[in-house]
Amino acid sequence: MRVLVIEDNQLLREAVCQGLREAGFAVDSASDGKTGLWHARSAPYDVIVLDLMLPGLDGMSVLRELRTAKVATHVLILTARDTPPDRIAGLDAGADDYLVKPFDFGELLARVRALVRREYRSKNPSIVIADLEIDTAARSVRRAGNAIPLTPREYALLEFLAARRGTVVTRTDIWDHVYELNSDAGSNVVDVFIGHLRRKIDAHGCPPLIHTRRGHGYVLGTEP
Amino acid sequence: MIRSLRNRLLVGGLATTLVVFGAAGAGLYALLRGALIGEFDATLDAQAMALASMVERSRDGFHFDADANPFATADHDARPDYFLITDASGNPIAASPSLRTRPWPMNPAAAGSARPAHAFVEMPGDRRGRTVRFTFTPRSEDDAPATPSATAPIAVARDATALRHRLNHLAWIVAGVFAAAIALSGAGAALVVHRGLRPLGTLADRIRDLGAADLSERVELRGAPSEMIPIVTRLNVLLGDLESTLARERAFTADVAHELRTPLAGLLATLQVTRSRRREPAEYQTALQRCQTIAEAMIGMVETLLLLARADAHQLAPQTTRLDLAVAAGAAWANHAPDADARDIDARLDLPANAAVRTDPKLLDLLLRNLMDNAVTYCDPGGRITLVVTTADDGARFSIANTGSAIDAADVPRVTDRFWRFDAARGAAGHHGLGLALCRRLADVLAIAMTIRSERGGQFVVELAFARDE
Repeated sequence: MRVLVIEDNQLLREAVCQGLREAGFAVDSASDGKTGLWHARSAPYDVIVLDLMLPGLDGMSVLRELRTAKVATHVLILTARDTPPDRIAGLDAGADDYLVKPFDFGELLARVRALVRREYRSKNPSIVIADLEIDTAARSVRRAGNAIPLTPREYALLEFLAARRGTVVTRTDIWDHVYELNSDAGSNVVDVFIGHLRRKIDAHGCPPLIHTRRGHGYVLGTEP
Repeated sequence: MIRSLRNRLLVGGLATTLVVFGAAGAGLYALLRGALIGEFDATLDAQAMALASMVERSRDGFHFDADANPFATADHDARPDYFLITDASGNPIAASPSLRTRPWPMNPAAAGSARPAHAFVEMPGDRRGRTVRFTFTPRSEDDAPATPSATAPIAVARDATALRHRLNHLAWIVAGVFAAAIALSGAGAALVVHRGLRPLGTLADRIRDLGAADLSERVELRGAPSEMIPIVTRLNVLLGDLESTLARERAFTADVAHELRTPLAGLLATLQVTRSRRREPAEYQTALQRCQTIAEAMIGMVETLLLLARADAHQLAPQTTRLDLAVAAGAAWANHAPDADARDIDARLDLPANAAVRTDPKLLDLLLRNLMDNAVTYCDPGGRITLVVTTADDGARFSIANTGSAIDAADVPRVTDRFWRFDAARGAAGHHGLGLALCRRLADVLAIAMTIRSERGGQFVVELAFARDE
């Protein structure tokens, strides 16, 4: 899942990006409104974390321009403005959530996860496919009752596939949602990670859940 | 003292109406009364003259030609009720038949003048009448000399009951008409006052309805009486001032909240993310370094805010002493020279000694260091900073200029606003947009004239003019 962080305070931005990355999100960041808007319009993000008091173009303008341009990405406003009129204005301008600084990082992560779930129309934090269980809150995966340890990147890939289970997910989709703009990953990195994931998920003689649709992409699910 | 404007106008209007209409009514009555009595008297005079013309004088006395009496056959209304003509000694020459049985209450000889004198009198039978009396010289048949004894007084009286009734009637009519006029005028005045004051009431309602919470409302001028427009306009100006002051206050509070909460959020996020898993010692080092940077920046901002608050509360009492401005500027620059070197800035110092000023050394140092910090931060890398101290007859001056400024001349007045930062520099570590605001307050406290200008070519100049040290 790919997140864009638009925040002008350098140290806060870096801390948020690091925390999100360590939680398995692909994270891009921008330090001003104009750059942020450019990012938001040029790549399909799952969630945008947006500060309001930004240099150049303020957060509310960024939000309005996004909504005017029919960009429906979920936006979480992260701001020091805490008055009810500020919250109302933010939500009315098209934000999906509002968090006031200073905030608990765990809460920020949970809210971002909730927005991701909403993106894929699922309220249940746990996804079950055959005997595969994914707990998106605890970020843990079990297959036939056995815990499967995954790296954050592998987990992100699995969660993305699981969110779109039963449908073919192209390499470009995976690239857009799981990898960052300035990622140095090569073009075959998706295949490499799918290979890693397969070895962990479909091991121990379990029936395979990750299927390749040659020329299209991948599908997560029981055999069609 | 009547407090209500409406009652004051009503009472004033009614009193004026009463006096004016009362006087007019009385005057009209007097005029009409005079005219009626004059008419009555004219008839009386004519009758008296006719009677007088019937008296003839001869050497042996006066003769009254009763046969020629024109009133003998006249009807009652046209003839006098009483008359009496005597000689100068008061002996009757002629008298009306009605006097044969009743005594005449007045002596015609008392008139004593040829000019007719009129008066109301009591007449026999408890009636009120009007008399005319004068003295005349009867015509002579035998050219008898007109001696004083040749004159005869005459008194004629008529019943004036009808006249009195007409006068009373007239008095009632005038009083009634004017009382009605006063009443109508009073009602009209009340209506006019009520309607005239209605816009005032509407205005008062509008002012009363102004919400205390929403200062964006203004009192509507439409329909306001012209006399109230200056007051309403002034009120609206005051409301505008109040609104902008409160808006600035709110913006300042929001800025303080933002500037304090954002680094706190950074601190908390850095600590929570770092603690979320086991890390290499180098990662902890980096995280701690970041936390320290945030804390130091916050301390700087809080100190500046406290200084500003003290300056606002007039708690900064300058302890002035005589010092050399060039020395103070050189000492302050020593703190910033390393940063300037690190940014490859060409610093040009022109600080000739003996620029004596009288000021507070600590506050001056704070002022100079903030100006220098600002210049070093916003100077372009490889740019130039110029520090100059000059002395003139009107006092010493200090100026600091840095290149690389992109501040528009129109924005110059705002650079000393609290939390105002040029966009590109926003978020620079340790800079909260308070430096120049603090400089402005310090210059005010130290009574130093501070001028700021943005010159062509990106030169940003701040100049301090010190008063001459006496």
